[in-house]
Amino acid sequence: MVHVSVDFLNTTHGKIECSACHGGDKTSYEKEGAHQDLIALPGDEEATYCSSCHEEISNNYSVSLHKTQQGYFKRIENRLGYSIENDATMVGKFDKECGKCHVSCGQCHVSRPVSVKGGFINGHKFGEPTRDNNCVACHGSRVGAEYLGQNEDYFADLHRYKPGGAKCTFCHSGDEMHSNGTKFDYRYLNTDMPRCEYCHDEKKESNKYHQIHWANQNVPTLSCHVCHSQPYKNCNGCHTGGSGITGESYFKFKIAKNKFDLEAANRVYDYVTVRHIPIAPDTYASWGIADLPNFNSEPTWKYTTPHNIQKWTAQTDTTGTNGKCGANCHDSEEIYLMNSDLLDYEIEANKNIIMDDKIPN
Amino acid sequence: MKRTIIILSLLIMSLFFLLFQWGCTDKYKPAPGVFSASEETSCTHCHLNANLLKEVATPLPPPEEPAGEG
Repeated sequence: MVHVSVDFLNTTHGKIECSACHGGDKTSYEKEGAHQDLIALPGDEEATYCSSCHEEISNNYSVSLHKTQQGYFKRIENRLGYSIENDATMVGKFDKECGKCHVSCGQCHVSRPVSVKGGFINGHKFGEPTRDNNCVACHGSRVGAEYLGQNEDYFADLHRYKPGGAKCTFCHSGDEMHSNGTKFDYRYLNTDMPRCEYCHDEKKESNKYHQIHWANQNVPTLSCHVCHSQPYKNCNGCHTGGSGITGESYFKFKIAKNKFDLEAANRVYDYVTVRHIPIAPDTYASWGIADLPNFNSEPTWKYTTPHNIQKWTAQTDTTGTNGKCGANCHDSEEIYLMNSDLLDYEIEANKNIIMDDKIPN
Repeated sequence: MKRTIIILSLLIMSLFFLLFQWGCTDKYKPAPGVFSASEETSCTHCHLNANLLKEVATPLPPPEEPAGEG
């Protein structure tokens, strides 16, 4: 039911004639006739319906990962070993399944995303995306649950309780969401993404752990999450064709070598946290690809920045160790991604990031 | 002489006005049609009326598998 609030008519967008964006026949009082040639989601065509007033954002958004899903696309192409850009059949399959998660202007600023069944946020009034109805509606099972402390036994991200931290926009800007017009193949290459260092750089030498693992470039450096993340959700076995995630998710915290080509974004840490993604050689079997030919081209444990930051974690808590971090990090294999953590079909794909030869002592 | 100056001034002012108009038209695309809240259309007739919408709404399709990030 598409119920528009009367208040909407007093807003800037409410002063634009309905049919200017939605088409249809405004003179017909029959549902069928009024909805003839209806454009339900004009925001899907931002170049036509949004750019006359929001030209720069619309132009930039045309390459945003939220619109293009280039990250998904690129990973599929890498594992296939060839481009599917001009393969209408494959693109059709992508659009039908993976493509359901793309969002348009209206799906963040007017309604909930279509992938979570839509619905106006505020009676068709346009506004800043809301955490629960927009961001977490899609990014809920991992990011949302972590940030809000919804995972049993784990705390919410401490930023949640900072002034303004209840909103995702506390850290994530419009420039990041809309893109700055640069095309990226991987979300972490977007230089408008927030970085811990942007707010906390003054902490670089604030204690001996920071001095050693952050400020000192002569020893291997760690991403902030290596010390300040709690265990996070990992997934197994995603399959196209409607079955979705078939494996059980599980909580793990794993550190691996940073071989993720992130230099362009200045994420040059030597060791980073990694999350298991649910790719399998037969993920796209229903698309006619029984076994991804180039499966080993990408690790199945990916660079991750969990949204469950705490000052004191199992890694930073040195209680009873007389200030030494040996027991937590340097004497335990459990927190490192090892060959033994991998399924048989994953060993080759992750050989460059596993820590078997790098456990610090 | 005075008359020539007046005519020339008018011509120059007209030229500037035309250039100014041209510049603006080129820079700013026309805004969509403006709507007056007092002007009822079939769109507002139905979509501002929750009771009427309930009467004519198409039932939701049966739920599919979970969507989103999973």
